[in-house]
Amino acid sequence: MFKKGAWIIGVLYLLTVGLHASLYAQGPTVTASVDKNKILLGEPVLLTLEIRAPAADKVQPLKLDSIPHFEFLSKDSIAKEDTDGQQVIRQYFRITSFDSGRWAIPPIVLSAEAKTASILMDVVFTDPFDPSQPYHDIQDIRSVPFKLGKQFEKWWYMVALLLIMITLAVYWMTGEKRPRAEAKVYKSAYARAKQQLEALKASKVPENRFYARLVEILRAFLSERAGVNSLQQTSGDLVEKIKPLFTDESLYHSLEQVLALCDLVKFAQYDPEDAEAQSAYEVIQKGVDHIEEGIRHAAKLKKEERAHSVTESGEVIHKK
Amino acid sequence: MAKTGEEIRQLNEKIVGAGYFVDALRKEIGQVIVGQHHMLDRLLIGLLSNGHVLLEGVPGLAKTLTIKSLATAIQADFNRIQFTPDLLPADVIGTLIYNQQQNEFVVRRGPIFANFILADEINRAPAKVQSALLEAMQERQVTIGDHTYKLDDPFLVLATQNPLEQEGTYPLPEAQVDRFIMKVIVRYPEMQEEQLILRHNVQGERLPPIRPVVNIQEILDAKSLVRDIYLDEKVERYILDIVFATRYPGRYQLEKLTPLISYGASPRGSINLALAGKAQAFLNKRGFVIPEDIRSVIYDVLRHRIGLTYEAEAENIAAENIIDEVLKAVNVP
Repeated sequence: MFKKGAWIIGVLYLLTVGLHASLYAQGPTVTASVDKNKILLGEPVLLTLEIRAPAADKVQPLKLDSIPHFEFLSKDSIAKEDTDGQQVIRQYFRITSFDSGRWAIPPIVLSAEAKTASILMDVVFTDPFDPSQPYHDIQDIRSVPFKLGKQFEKWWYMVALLLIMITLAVYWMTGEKRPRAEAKVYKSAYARAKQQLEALKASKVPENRFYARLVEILRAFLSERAGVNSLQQTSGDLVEKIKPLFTDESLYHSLEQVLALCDLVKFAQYDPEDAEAQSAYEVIQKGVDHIEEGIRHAAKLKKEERAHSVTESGEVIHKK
Repeated sequence: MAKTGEEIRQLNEKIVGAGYFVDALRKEIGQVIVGQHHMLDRLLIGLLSNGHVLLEGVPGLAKTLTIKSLATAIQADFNRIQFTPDLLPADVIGTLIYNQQQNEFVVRRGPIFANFILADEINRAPAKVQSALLEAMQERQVTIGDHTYKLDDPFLVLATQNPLEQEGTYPLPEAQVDRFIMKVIVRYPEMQEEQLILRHNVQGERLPPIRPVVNIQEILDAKSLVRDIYLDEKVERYILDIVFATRYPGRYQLEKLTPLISYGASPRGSINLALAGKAQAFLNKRGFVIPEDIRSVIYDVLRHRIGLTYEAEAENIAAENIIDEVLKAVNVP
């Protein structure tokens, strides 16, 4: 009884060991090799990675993204071939290193059983090492000026000539039809304000807009002509600022009232009478005229002052 | 809310009628306080727009006297709380105390239960006391034990702050300063004004007692009118442009301000600018807000809401300079 049992256990043991060995023999193998084990700084080296496995096995390709102390110059695509019931997956990498020293490409692992052996690499900056040589540092990348190859030159000239001909043809065909742009006539701030006031009078804008536009015209005129920072001033501030420009007190007060009326219309939904609109328009118009006149008069006086200078005794000296 | 021209006209008339007390108050308080018209107007704006005012300035500028006089002239309650490092929240809002005779805890209300509170030297108290006060200011109610008590209306807190470089102070954090509708800088009086002050105090010229010129109900009615004051969309847009220019100076051709501002005014800044603008319009007896109203309150409303960078501080640039530049760049509607 005991002998029979021992015999069964022995058979089972042999079966298990045999099966395991056969399975192990059929598993994938991975190898890595380099074309040289010693390189100069920055010299490329070809790393070949090869996986061999039974044709029926599903083998995931290795993902090799980085190797310490080495940099990848290029990666070839994965090549796969089947020979004698075996599949061979192969990939080439061109790597290099800028670190001098003895470095190891560590084992590349596919599975616990399948991994490459580590590869020792010597990275040297001179070969053979000559301590008498001066130290050469790595230089910056130099820019090379663009230069068209000789073989392309004639094509280049032909394309340029063709473009010029097309441009001339387009201009010749369309040039006469195009209306000529009117020469821009420079208008003074005063002329523009007057023109805008005329345009406002002719247009039929809503009342709210009419008053807003009226003030806009005055503000723009003051900003340009009198150098008053009028667009960023409230009506109250503006009234104070323009006071020195007025010699006519009553006109100044009328303008003050018109600006207050405009604020009422703009900010309090006030609905003014038609007569008020007409009156406001006239005051702004007169105000613009008055300011322009004042500025011109002041400029004239200044010019005369520059032309004549009076001595203490009252004698006038004419300057040339 | 959109209003017609006629409604605004009617509101205008109401305000002219209801705003009589403004002049009366100015006159009455002016008999006791020399100068400081700006501070009094800002207190009225705070009162009418339901906000609180932070005053910064050296001691001895009649801050206490002004608010006390205002309270008397309005017939309102006034309490002064001197903030010190050992002050506790219960000292401000109140607490529960044990009554031996009745054998129960009873509520003892703190000094915050008044219409006008002068929180003197608020930056001398630790953060928890400041928080208790600021929370009460915001919520307008306090909780003692299990009960919540509404604070009286009107409720105006006037907090004073000494210059921050003094030792032993707890500067108010930006988020808490933002709760004040305005930060008013109280300046020294003019020489002529100080001469008058001198006479009143040294030569024994007796000051007339403050007489009540308006009652609380009239103030509450005025507050209700202030809320109704018309704020046109164009003025709203002007406020937003100003506030946005403090946040994104580059959008308003103010790139030079970008390295000087660490943070711009908050949405509370826009809200308070509009509220203070309405109250300013009321003081000017107008039923609608114009850009001038906004500009006249802008420094007090925004100065504590604009954060400056170290670069700005190194160049001695104050929030007022930033506001100046913003006003120069933003177009008035």
